[in-house]
Order: sequence, then structure tokens, then C-alpha cells
Amino acid sequence: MEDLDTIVAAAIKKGADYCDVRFVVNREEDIRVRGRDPEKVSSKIDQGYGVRVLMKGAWGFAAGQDPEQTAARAVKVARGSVLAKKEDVKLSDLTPYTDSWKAPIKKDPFSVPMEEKLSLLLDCGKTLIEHEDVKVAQATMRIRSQEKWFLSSEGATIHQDTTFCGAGISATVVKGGDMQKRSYPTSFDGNFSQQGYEFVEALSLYDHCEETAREAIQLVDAEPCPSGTMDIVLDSSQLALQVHESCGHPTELDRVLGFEASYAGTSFLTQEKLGHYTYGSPSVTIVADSTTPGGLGTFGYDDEGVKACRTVLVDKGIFSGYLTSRETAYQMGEKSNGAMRATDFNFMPIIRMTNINLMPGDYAFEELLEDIQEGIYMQTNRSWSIDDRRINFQFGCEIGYKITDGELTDMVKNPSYTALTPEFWGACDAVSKDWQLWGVPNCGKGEPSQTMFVGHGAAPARFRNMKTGVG
Amino acid sequence: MKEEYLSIVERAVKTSNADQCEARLSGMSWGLTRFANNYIHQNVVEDNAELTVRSVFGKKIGKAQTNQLDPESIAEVVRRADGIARVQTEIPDFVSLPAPESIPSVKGFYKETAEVEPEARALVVKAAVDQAETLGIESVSGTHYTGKEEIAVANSLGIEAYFEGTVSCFKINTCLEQGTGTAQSFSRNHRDLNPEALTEKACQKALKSRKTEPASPGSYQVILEEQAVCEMLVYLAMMTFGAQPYLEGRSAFSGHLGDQVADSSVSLWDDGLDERGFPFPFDAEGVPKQRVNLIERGLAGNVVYDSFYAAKAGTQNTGHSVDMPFGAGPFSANVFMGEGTSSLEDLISECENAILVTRFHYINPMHRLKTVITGMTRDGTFLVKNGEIVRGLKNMRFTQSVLDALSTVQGIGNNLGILRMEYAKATVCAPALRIGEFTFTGSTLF
Repeated sequence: MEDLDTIVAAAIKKGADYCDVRFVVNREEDIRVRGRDPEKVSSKIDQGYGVRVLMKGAWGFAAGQDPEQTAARAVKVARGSVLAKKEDVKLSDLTPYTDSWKAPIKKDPFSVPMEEKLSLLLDCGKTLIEHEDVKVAQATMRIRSQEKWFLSSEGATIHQDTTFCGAGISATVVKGGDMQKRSYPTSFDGNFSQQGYEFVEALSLYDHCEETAREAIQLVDAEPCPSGTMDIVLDSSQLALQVHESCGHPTELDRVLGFEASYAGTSFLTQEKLGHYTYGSPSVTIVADSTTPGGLGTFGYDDEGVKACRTVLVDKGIFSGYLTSRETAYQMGEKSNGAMRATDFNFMPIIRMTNINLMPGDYAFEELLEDIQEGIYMQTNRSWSIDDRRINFQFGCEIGYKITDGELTDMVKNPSYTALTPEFWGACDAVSKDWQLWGVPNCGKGEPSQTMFVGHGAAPARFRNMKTGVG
Repeated sequence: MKEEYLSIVERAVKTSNADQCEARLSGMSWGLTRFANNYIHQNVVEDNAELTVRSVFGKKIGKAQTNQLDPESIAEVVRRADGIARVQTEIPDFVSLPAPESIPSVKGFYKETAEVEPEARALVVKAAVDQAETLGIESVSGTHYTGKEEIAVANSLGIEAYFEGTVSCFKINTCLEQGTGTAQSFSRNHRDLNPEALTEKACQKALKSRKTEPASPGSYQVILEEQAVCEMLVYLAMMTFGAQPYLEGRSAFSGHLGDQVADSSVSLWDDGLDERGFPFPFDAEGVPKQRVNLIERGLAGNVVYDSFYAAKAGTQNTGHSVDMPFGAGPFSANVFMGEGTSSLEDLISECENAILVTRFHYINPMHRLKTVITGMTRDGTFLVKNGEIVRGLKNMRFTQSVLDALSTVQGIGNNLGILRMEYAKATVCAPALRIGEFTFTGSTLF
């Protein structure tokens, strides 16, 4: 920590009014099996300093390996920002903490022998590819730890140590001019959690190979999802992504204030709507919670040193909160709720999702179905797209089942639905009690592009009169 | 830095006890200035370089990375790669790391671009904001970056490759009374960016798109401006042009090379040496990039290979290895579409009833084998009647097969636009297109 003190002191001496510095050490393993063979087995270790300064009301950030040089460059960058300044950047107040925080894990995933991890994935790959129609079988595992020291000129001294891991399998069938894929436990490399290797073991990947391959094969011959207007039920993994795209991103206050206007876009949840706008039905309550045990968005403190907390974003359907930073919270006359995160040492923190959770309801899954005469149950995201204010979206799923008179019946392929965000959440009349936490390690935002790991708790839910079968 | 970069990768290769070893050092030294609400809100500089070592014992392969480049760290990362390789199982289709070939020289480095200071970037931003405000624009946002990338690759078979290139970009979004406009350019030489012209273009777009009306979903004739075409082609490249999806039957080209897949006026190719794009002479394995005809006068041409998939298919390595976090195989990172003879105004003037699209937003594949993608229009969507832009339209959702769209091309612009994805080191250069049938499946509220 001594060199971090030196960096902060050097930046202040060079004219910075505020400085914070992060020293980050990352360790990562990425194991990928394709069919019967390893595709990629890699280990990555990197580290570096990220220095952020505020000088004469303007930001500068530099990343590098040499602490003093990095500090000097951050100040130089801030001098550049001053040249195009309109008003001084001001930060909301914060209590500077001195603390150490470590995410609890039982079984260190890095200590599990590589042979054992690879063997699990190879067994899955072989089992999946043995099905004649399965053209591509994938089994993947990713483990990442991040140790981070944070110091600020306001007196914060924070050390954090986090580890997440996760895994998944998928089978792709190509036949008769069609291609269908099925994944477990969800698509895009599976599920992830801030837990130890016990999380990977609990996924029981091998036990799900047969079902995954069989569903992929059956999908090719299944009927296409019917086009029309009907009730739909979405599984919790699809709802996790739905929450991500249609609630998580539009409640990022930097988007609302226009900071992302040229790239990711802005938000329909503008400030005058806060506290009274009907975002969804009374069944819909969504929170941002960076204290959720096991969440990929769980931490002790964000990258401005703000303590982890829980914020209600949508309260029984009413839009009621944003994800904020010190700079954006100041503009609202509030304190930050701790959503500033940087993927690595070499990125400036920006507002990111933490764990954005759809709160569970009281319904059993069967109760969601029972009064639907004609509908579709959709599982596992395959495709997602939403406009730059997060209103019009279209999602595709891997698999669907017709719901007929309250029962799941025929499998359908290429299920998809499209709607406008407030209409969609307004049509939600029941949320299940079967709540599950999903880890999403590939949320992209910002320039330079930062890939963040975020969490989403969700439960299956029912939506009335949705447009299905588009495209 | 050439000597330093090569000495690091050579040291790594020599340190390894593996049967074969490859080391790649990839570095970036750049500054990126983001602006929004007419001021700079993020301003960053970064110096970082990552050493990747691939060790091979027989047919067992291990890979390790670090960004610590002192001798002890180099030895450690080699030990890590060797150790992973030893506990691996064999990859039967692996034959060998690639052998050295002559690497052509290409100009991609501009000293002035490498040396742009944060103050200079800030002044460019300030000038753009002032220019836009003079035209009455309410809100200006965008990105301006400059810097350099370096890469060195060596392997135990004798490959020794080095390239130093510069990068730059200016992109701007403008907003006035809910109307938005955009313009962008990317170049290895920042002197080519022309921020003033881009700002003027973005402002005019915003001024024209202030008042919008909804259009009904359906099939329309469209004019896609250069940026929209580039964005669409990124996804076609991802779904179709790589050897991995091709050999696995997941590409629209699988079993269809030589077939008619687009209108005969359409030609696409990958060329890492064409200086109109972001030239880069070799791939992630140090193999020289070959020009590959992807679509030739509407016929499916070829796909791109790296050493692994070339050996697997028994064909020539085209030099398209990439090192991405996900395992997607070789990738066409320098795509060009042949330009035509029409100006954008010509393309518009020949339409009776069409939609003009400036750019797309948040594209994603719906069905990869059928090249079906969905996405939204953004920052300037207009109704064209009898050859004239008559009004702005609310943004629309499209769901469309890319190859089907390219099969109804009716006119091709004479200007190449450029889109660079820095994180993937990939570039697409393409002209504007007039397309006969393009399916919109929804619309939004703005």
C-alpha cells in the first residue's frame, strides 16, 4: 500500500484536487472443450495501476505499470480535459473507509487440479458428441480472481479479494438446412457465481448432457414458434437477461444523463419519471443489491470506495431508483449508491450493474401456467436486441413449449417475443417463488469497451398478450 | 520498440522446454477522450502489453498469459504454459505450429498519430462542440482516440514477425429536439479523420431528424448508408466467413461454395494489406495474411483459415488466426465490399418509396445458418418518396437475413465507409447500398 500512498501524494502535488488509485491483480483460467478434444486451456495473470484524478473540475485517468509515471500521466490527461470543460465535476460526499473484504469461498477453484477440471469437461464433450446429429459439443469453465487495493486522497484504504467461477455445456445440431442449439444451465458458457469450485460441482454438468443433446436434436424437427399475440411464461435465466437489458441498463444514471449517448445510448427512464412512473405491474419489484451472496455483482465497496448496498429500482411497478456514481448522484442531490466499477486496472470506473434482481412472487411454476389457454413457455436466451433508449426489444430463446389449457405440450423451435419495455413489464401478472441467481460475465459497456461481470436473480414469470414468433 | 518486443518473444520461446513454442507480445499505448453533454467526461490513457505463450508437447497444447515482462515473469509464464500442456490431453487434429513465411511490408504507422497528446485531443473535441453549438445543436457526444499498437510473434519453427501500427478515431453524435445524428471515421492516420466534416454531417442529420413519424412494419426498399452496411457485414463475417462454422456445417457457406448467395453486383473480400482499411500484415500466429475472396460477383468464394483449421481441412492457411477470449476459430478481420459508381444522392434519387437508414444499433443474430439478424435503426432514419427525403421516421426494428438482403442489391455507392472494432482489431470497409427488400418487424417510440 505504500506505493499507492506515494501515487496519491504525487498526483496531489502535481495539482490534482482529488486522486484515487487502484492496484489490481487478476488471475484467470479458461478451459474450453470442443467435442472430444480440448479447444483452449489457458491461464492468465496480470496486474497494474489505474489512477484517476480530478483537477480543476475535470477528470483524468491513466493506467500502467510504473506508479509515479502513471500518476503524472493522469494529471496530464486531466489538464487536457480542462480545456473542454463546461462546469466543474463535483462529487457527492462519502465516508472514507479503511477495510478489507473477501468473498467467502469453500473450495478454491485454482487449487483443483487442471486435470480434474479438464476431465469433467472432456467427459461432457464426449457424451454430447456421441449423439449422431450433434455437430458441435462444447463444455466450458472459467475461473477468475481479482485482488484489489484502493486508496484515495480523501483517506479511503480498501482491500478486496473476490473469486468467481462457472461452467456450462451446449450441443448444436445442424440438419436439413436448420441449426438448433441447447445449453445447460444457460447459454453463453453457463452460469457463474462468486463461490468456490463447489458451485461448479453443484451444476452436475455431466448429468445434464443427455437431456441437453436430446432437446437439441428434437428442436430441429419441432414446429416453429407460432406468430401471434398470446400469453408467455419465461424461465428465470431468460428473465435474468430481460432484467439486465430492460431494467439494469436504463436505470444506469450515466446513461440517463447522456454520458453514453454516442455509444450504448441513453434511457427512457428520465429523471422526471423517478418516483411515480409506472414501469410495470404491481407484481414487479426489482432491486440493485451488491450484497447478494454469491452474486457476480457482489463486493464490499465499489471502485469509488462506496460501501455495498441495496437500492430498490422498481417498487411494485413504480420506477423508484437509479444506479449511481458520486458524480451523477451529486447532480441528483444525493449520495452514491455504489455502482462505479472498472473491469480491470486499465479502465476508468463507470456506472455498472451490480446484482439486479427481480424479486420472487408467491406462485408455483404450475400456477403460472394453469389459467393460460394458449401460450408459449420459453427457456434460455439465444438472441437479444434493444433500442438505444431501452424501449423496443426483441428476444429469442433456445426452446419453447406450447401451453395449452394450463399444460405444457408440444416443443417449438425459434421462440421469440418482442414488446416495448413498459408494456412488457406492465403485462406481468405473476412471478414464481422459484428464484435463482444467475451470473452474467459478459456485460459490455463504455469506450474503451469494458466487459463486466454482473448478477441477476430472477424467477419464472407470466406475461399476458405478448407478440410472439417474430422473425 | 521493435528490438525490445522481439527480444521478449524470443526469450520466451528459448526458455520453453516444449517440443514447440510460440510467444506473442501484443501492446497498446493510446489515449481515448470521450465527450458528452458538450464536455469531456472521460479521458484516459493506457499503456499495457500482454505476453501470450503457447507450449506444445506432441499434440498437447497449453497457453498462459501475463503483462509482466521482466525476465522472471517471462520464465514464469513459460513454465505455466508448459505445465498446462503437460497435463492436457492430445488434440488429434493438431499438426504443428506454423512455419515461417515471408511477411510483406505495409504502411500502418504514422508517427504524428502515435504522439498526439491529451491536450490536442481535447482541442479537437472543443472545436467540434463549438461548431455544433453554432449550428444550434443542444447536446454533443462522442469519442476521439489516438495511439499505437505493437505486436511481435515468434515461434520455435523460426517465425519472427513484428508490426507497429497507429490507430485513430473520431465519432460524434448530435442531438436537437429529440433528433439525433451521427458520423464517424477511423484511420491509421489521424490526419485523415476530418472531425470538422464529420461534425457538420452529424449536425445536419440531427437537424433533419427532429420531427419523426412512425412507419408501419413490413418489407421496404432501403438505402443503407455506409455505417449501416459495415455494421451488418460484421455479423455476416462472424456467422459465415470463418473456417470453424464452415467446417462444422454452421455457416451459410457450408456445402455452398460457388453457389449464388448474393446479387452478382456484390463482391466481398478480406485483405489485411489494403491501406484503405487498417492494414496488418500477419495474423496472431505470425502467418502472413492472404487476400481471400469471400463473395465474388455474388458467388460464395472461400472462408478464412488459421493453421489448425487449415490442417484439419487439408487446405492452405490464409493467415486469419485471432486470439479472442472465446473459441470462435479464425476470423476475417479486414473485410472489404466492392464499391459501385453511385453517390448516396444517386441511390436516394432512384427510389420511389424507401427508407434511408444511417446506422443500426444492437444487432444480434437470430438464426446464424440463415444469416438472420435483428437490430434497430438509430441516429437518422428517413422516409424517401420519389427520390427525395421527405421526413424523419421513428426508429425501426429489422429482422432480416443478411444474404437475402444482399441478394436484392439494386445499387452500390461509390464511397467506402469504415468501421473499426478496436477490442477485436477488426475492420469492415463498405459502401452504401440500395436494397430491394428489407424487413422491418417493429418500431419504437422515438
